[in-house]
Amino acid sequence: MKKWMTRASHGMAASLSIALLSAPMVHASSTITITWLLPTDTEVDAYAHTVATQYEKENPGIKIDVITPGSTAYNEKLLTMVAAGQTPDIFTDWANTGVYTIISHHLAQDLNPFFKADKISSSFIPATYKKEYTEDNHLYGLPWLSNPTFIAYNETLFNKYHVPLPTTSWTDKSWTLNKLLADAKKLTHLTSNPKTSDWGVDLTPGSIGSLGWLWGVDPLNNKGGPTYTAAYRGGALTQTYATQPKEVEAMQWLADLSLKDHVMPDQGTLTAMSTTGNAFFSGHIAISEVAGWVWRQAAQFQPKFKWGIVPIPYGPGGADTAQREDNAFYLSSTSKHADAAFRFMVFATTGWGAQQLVKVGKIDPPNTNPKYLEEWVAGVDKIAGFSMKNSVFEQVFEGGVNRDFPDPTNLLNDSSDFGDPFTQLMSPVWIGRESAKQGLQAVQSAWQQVLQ
Amino acid sequence: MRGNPAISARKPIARWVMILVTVVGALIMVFPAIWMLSASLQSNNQISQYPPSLMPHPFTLEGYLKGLTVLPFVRYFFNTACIAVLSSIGGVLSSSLAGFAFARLRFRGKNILFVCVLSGLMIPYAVVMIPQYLLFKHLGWIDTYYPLIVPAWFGLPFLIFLFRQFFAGIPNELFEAARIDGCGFPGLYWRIAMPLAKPAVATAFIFHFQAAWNDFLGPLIYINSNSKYTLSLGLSAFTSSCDCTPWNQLMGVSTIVALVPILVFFFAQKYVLRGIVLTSK
Repeated sequence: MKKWMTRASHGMAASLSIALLSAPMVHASSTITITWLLPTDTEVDAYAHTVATQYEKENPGIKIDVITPGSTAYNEKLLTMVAAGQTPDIFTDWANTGVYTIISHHLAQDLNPFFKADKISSSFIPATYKKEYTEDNHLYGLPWLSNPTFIAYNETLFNKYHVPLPTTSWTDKSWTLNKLLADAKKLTHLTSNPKTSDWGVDLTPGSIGSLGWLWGVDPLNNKGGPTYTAAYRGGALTQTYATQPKEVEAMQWLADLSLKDHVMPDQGTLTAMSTTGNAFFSGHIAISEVAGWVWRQAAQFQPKFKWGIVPIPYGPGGADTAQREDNAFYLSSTSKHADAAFRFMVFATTGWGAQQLVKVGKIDPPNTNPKYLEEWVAGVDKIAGFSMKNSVFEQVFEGGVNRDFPDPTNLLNDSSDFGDPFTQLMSPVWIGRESAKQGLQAVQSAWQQVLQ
Repeated sequence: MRGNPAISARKPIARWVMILVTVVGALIMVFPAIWMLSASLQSNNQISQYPPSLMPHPFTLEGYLKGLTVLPFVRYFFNTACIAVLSSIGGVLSSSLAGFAFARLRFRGKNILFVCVLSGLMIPYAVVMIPQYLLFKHLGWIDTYYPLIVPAWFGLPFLIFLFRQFFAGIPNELFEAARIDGCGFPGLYWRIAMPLAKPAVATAFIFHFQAAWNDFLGPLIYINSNSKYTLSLGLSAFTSSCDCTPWNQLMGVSTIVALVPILVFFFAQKYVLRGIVLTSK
């Protein structure tokens, strides 16, 4: 028995002592540790570590703990850390955790006093983002990522079917949804072989039906489009407007693209085309709604056709507003080293840090200084198949930034209560089992239940 | 004596139908692995094509070469192996002890205690995730491997159940004979029960090793430093919410990551199959 016990205890001791090696090192008491949580892919991961290493080099006594769960696991990590009272000093909003979810849970603190104390001007933040992240004169977020929406065109298909390219001017009012549909019809050539079939267009309804913005309606207010009403300021919502006639019209128009006009792939085909990325890069779609990350996708998928981007067309409501996906860094309200963390936030998003966002992260930082956009555009120019002149591209890109409105799910408090029912209850509409009116009635009813 | 000619004629057909069903079933089960292997040898451009193709054209090793170097996967491999091996050893030792006690010892409240252990199987991890995190935080174990290894050393409900079933099936006469020869309970466990339990040990080890090797949520919430990441965390860095996942790299590294549990299972499959049969009685 003795022998047996000795053996077992030796085994346990040996195993646990190996595990002990992974115990955290105790740093000198003078070292300040700042935790920085951000969702990554391999490029953002490289950016985060480059910036953190440089900052540590320039500021002895400060250690930046970069925590980079993959982007799909980001919210679980943040939630666990918050629940355990270990909110990272700096974190970002991601997916359905929008700015007002963060503000309403008192997770972030006002950055204005820090700007004032450090005598730094916040003028490097473009006005459109300041508006987005300011509540009651408190600035909560420092934007680091912004992805407007555009229309991408496959130039090779346009040339093949002899259709003139769409305009690149945001003010050209002849570029309408009707014109887009007319072009899509000319560009659609369906055969029995999927390899030789081409579809004219691929559009989406937006996260909660924001395609209706082009019809001059918004499903969460009755002000004629997206504005910073209570709904988008984290306020208490009392009414939703999913069944407005123009919203119904917008959703039915979208459903008809595949069901009636046959210019858009059906949902099954679209899912198959986009499972591993963006259906546009299959080369079989001529016009596609894309977000600002389309260049990262292109760098990955190396399209073998020529392509470019044009503005969002004007809708029946006379508007050309689409949704913009923005993300900011927040300073934790419980940070023990808020001053140091704030300085690092500024370092990571301006000057040398902003350049690393462009160079290493392949991201255009939201900044009033035009040099970052120029540097980023110079990099985009090298992306496979991208055929636009830099100056024209810059103009289209900036137009998107300025005209778009933030994605409602980036703003709403607990936005998944609105986004998830919309996605689920509208799916019968896209396959023709229900009309847009029936789908939106179900959505409206689900939203009203949330409000109650 | 000749059998019924009608049945004899039907038998080959039935056999072929069974083979066909088995082959189709096997192909369906193995298809994701075939796609993983195929995608790992394709360019991302080919992966994005519609309709998709299983034949790599052009054939490229970029998925492996780039995928394995873009992040420190060798380090992640050793981190994962350390966690999986240590927690499996602990899980097998402690669970076999508990299983032996439930199967062979007589004590008050044994059945109630066993039901309590089994109820651990029925509680979803999400329910205990935050309280466990708080506990480990107070112990100062966040960003260490302790939360991923130490709990296994205190017994795992499924493995305890597995060992109890196995030990309960060993004839009583063996233990009685050993007792007559002066063997105590530790001796019964170590000298009689464990040598007979090789199939159960192999099954338990493989089950837990696979679970620990593939565990994502545990390392995600407890590990912060990149240098301590496991393979599953490293793989998740490839996935991107902007639909720009480098699929060939993800699939290349996934193929290599999947090889380890496959090989472990391959070498221990004889014991595992026996273990499953014996413990299911």
